[in-house]
Amino acid sequence: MTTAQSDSLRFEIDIPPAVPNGEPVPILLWVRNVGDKPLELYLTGRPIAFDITITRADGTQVWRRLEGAAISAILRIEVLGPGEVLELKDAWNQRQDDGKPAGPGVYQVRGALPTEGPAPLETSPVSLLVSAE
Amino acid sequence: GFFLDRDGQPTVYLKDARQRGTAEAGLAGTLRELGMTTSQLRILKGEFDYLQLNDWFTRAAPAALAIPGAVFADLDEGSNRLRLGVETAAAERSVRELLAGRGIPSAAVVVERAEPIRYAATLRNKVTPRVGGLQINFGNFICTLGFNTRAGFGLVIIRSFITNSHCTTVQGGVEGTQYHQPLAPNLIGTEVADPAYFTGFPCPSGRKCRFSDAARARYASGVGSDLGGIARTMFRALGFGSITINPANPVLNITAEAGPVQGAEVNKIGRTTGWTYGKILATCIAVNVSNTNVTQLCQSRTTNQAAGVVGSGDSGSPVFYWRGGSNVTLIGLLWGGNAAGTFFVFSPMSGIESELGPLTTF
Repeated sequence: MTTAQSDSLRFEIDIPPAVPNGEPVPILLWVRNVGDKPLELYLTGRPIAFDITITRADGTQVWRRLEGAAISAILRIEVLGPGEVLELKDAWNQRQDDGKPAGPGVYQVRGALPTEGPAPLETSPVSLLVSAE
Repeated sequence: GFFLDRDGQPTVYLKDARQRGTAEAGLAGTLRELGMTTSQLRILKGEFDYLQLNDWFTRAAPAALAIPGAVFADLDEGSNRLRLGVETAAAERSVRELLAGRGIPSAAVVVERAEPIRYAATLRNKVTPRVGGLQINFGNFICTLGFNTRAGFGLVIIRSFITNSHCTTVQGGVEGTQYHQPLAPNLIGTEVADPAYFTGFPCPSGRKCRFSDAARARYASGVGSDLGGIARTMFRALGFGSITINPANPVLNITAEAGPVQGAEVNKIGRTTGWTYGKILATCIAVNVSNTNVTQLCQSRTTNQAAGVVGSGDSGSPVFYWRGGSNVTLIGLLWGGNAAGTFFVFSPMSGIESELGPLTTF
């Protein structure tokens, strides 16, 4: 087995491109082993901890899934076989970190997976349009 | 035979000083790479020709290093001698006899006492006896061994270690989780105590609670452990401290227990981020564990600081006060932190002992 390398691993985020204002936004993070050997992922928490950050176009944070959260500092080793996918799901309720509605607009959504190392695995950001009613 | 002396001057020993020109030609490239010129080269009168020393070294070093207690063998260009390090007087005698038997003049050799050189163990290696701070493994999870305890029942002494309740097969309740150090198959102990979580006041509605995230595992027969010992690493840091065990001073000793005090500086040693420290921000706070229905009551947390004060795998780390030296005061057991690793949360000894019973920790 090999420890996950970026060329054998795809980590992406799936969201609907647009949602009406106030509707929950389903978010799916997925990690796929695109190589031909099993990969070990060194992940955090029980259950697996994952983060989602939503920002405005200017980079201002609107909502972060793990904002201020306390996560158990256990290291878990997940083995992904060739082609196997690990899925992590949540939904954004269109509230900001302070609980106020985020409102219509274009947002950037990014997923992150805390790992053993100093830097988490991160997806590329994707755009989300929250349309006015 | 070329070296830089303590003042940084390029120097070479020559048995025949008339060979300077040859030496300069041979060393010109090296000197240039060092930003120096041949005019700076200093010649010292060598008692031995370098090629002769090299021949003696080649003939003697392998056999010398095979002698028990031999530490190193060196052709020391800085002194125009062979230099051999040994641990003991017996090793020194054996080395000298060997050299004499090979016809190597004693004047060409320096035999000196040396400390043994060992691989530097880390918190993630197999370390005996077992102490706090070391990596432990169960199933596909990795945690940290918190601290050792001992209970006496007549002539029977039961040795155990404490780690987190969430570092058992099922958090709350005993399933006989088997632990390995650092990884299977190095069985060290079995879970024997992990109190159930409760509901109802003072636990928030819809959640389950405890006053500590702690469980006890009994050491297997024949597994050595050091009561009061915590692995001491090379250095501590606000974030990402050393995980290499200090070979000269490998253990910190618990000599007392105490409660957490807001504003006090606390340390932890864990297998992922090593020896780190921070200040206590809050004591006796109720903390919801992210993405679970667990609330840990009356916990302590540190202030936000540099990233790397905690990382995944540090669960179970001993938390203690340290004022320099080798003695520490145990104050609790780390169980979590934020995603960025800028603060950690721990269970105080009062909560741990209220649930696991009084513990002898030193």
